[in-house]
Amino acid sequence: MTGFEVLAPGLLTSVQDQGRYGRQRVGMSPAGAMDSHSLALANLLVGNPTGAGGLECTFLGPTLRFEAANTIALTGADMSPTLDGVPLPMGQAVPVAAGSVLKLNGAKNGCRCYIAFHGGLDLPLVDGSQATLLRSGIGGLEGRKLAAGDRIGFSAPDPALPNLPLRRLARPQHFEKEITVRVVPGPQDDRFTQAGLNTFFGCPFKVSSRCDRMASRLEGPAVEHLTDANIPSDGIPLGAVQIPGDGQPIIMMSEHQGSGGYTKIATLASVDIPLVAQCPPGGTIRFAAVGVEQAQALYLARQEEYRRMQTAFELEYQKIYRITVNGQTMSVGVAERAAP
Amino acid sequence: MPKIKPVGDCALTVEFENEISIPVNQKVHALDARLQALSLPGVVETVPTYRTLLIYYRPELLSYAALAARMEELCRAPFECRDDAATVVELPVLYGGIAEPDDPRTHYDGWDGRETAPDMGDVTAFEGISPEEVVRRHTSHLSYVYFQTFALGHSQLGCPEKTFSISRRATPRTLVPQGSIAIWANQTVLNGFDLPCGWHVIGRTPVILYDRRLPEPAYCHPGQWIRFVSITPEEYRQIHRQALEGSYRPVSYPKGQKGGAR
Repeated sequence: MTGFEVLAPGLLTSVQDQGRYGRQRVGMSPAGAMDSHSLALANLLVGNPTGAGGLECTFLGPTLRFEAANTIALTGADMSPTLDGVPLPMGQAVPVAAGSVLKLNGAKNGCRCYIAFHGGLDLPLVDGSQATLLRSGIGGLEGRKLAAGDRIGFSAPDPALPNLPLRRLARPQHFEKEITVRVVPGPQDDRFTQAGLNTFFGCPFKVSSRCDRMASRLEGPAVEHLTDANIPSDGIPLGAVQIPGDGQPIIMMSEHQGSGGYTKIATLASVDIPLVAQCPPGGTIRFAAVGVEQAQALYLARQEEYRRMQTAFELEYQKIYRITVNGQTMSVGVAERAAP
Repeated sequence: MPKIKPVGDCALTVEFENEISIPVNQKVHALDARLQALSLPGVVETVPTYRTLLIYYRPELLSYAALAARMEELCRAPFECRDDAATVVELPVLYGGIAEPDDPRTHYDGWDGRETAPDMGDVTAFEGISPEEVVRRHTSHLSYVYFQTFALGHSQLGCPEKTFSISRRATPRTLVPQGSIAIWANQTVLNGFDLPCGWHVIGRTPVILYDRRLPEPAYCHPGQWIRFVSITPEEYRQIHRQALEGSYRPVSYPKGQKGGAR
């Protein structure tokens, strides 16, 4: 089935989904969307499962020409998108006609924009996922970033989704350059001096230019080890904060390796990893300790938020009203049965 | 009793004794097998390494406390460490020289990428032995596969006997070619793809260490033993051709069978 043609690829545009889990034991990095929250929101807006494959666009977005009509949504970094030259709103489902041209520009806010397509992309699953693992050339479109002339098909396009006026985010997304992320201390927080822990939890760290889909490397005062930074290599999850010998934190992102031999002082709460994905070089990151129970409560609340959105978009409404409050216009659906 | 700790909100680690040793690593794989046998809903996957088992799980199906309690239970039964039933897999290696003169990688990251053992000189100088003695030591002992989680086709091996005393390279090479075999002390690493490497590259295997065309892509598995077999450039080319065709089959046999049935 036809879908879209890439007229200009942008800086780094690749197919990503929720990641390829299940083969990390043989060294398969999960890859997947850096800002998995924005991808989930875009997917929900167009009626997809949260983890469906879409496009991740980095810093400078692509230009696409649609070859089939469908419904799309853009979330994450605002890249001033236009459809046939007309500005397109972020964070809402939009029908697109065959032949229309979607153009993304440079990111005004944040680093990564996500484009979801109703029904998903017609690409093979590799070990259960469409995520592109760039450094091993696996998944997505031929394991690589998109190039001009590439064509990707839609799986099940639908330009007429129900409840279209309701399919928009309640609040626009906004990304800060100074962020505080919550972390669960450990598993090697006992390998640091008290002064080292105070530095880590008390000081801001600058995002360096050495950040990619594998890791965000930070710069700041050195986090002091008790003896040294080396451990017998062990498993590294997404969001782990490694402190190598130079004391400079490295946050492991989507294409992280499966294991490593540096001390890990803490691991980010899942809900805060997307903030790092959107924090540009030169931004600052602070770390705040939370317990595992609190981090899991945040995770569960986010799952619940997804479920509510899904229900709201899929209910059958008797009537959808447009109302304006304080100059802001929104759509409100009235259903016979209340959302659970 | 092993230590159980959270690693963020979606993973948990079980840590055994803080050392790199085969008996400790065997406990990791034994615990992994016990957990797999349970097929616990909410467990996504596991990542065994030297002394720890990292377990990914979904908090909406399994809380940290619930999984930690389950793991504690699984650790209670004693861990038996026996490996006479373990499998030995032979790995052909060309220890130096150029097997494929037509290989275009003549300027590979600052060196001739066709050369299969760029660091052999450093190893012989440090150890004060000949290249032949390096090969003899590397091929005369079995090496144990600890884990493969660092990258695709990458295996971390250790030899129970003392083979070499050289440590890692002061400056890691930013890239070594697929198939490179690198060492430090009694450790060996197999590189399935082009990767940075801080160890000393003493040879190259013509086999494909992670072949996605095969139903089981990995050439070897954790808990198995590798016997390195020295080959000639001609044998290298022949095995490499078979590997590319997908027709090469590794030689393997039970560890108890001394020397193996070839």
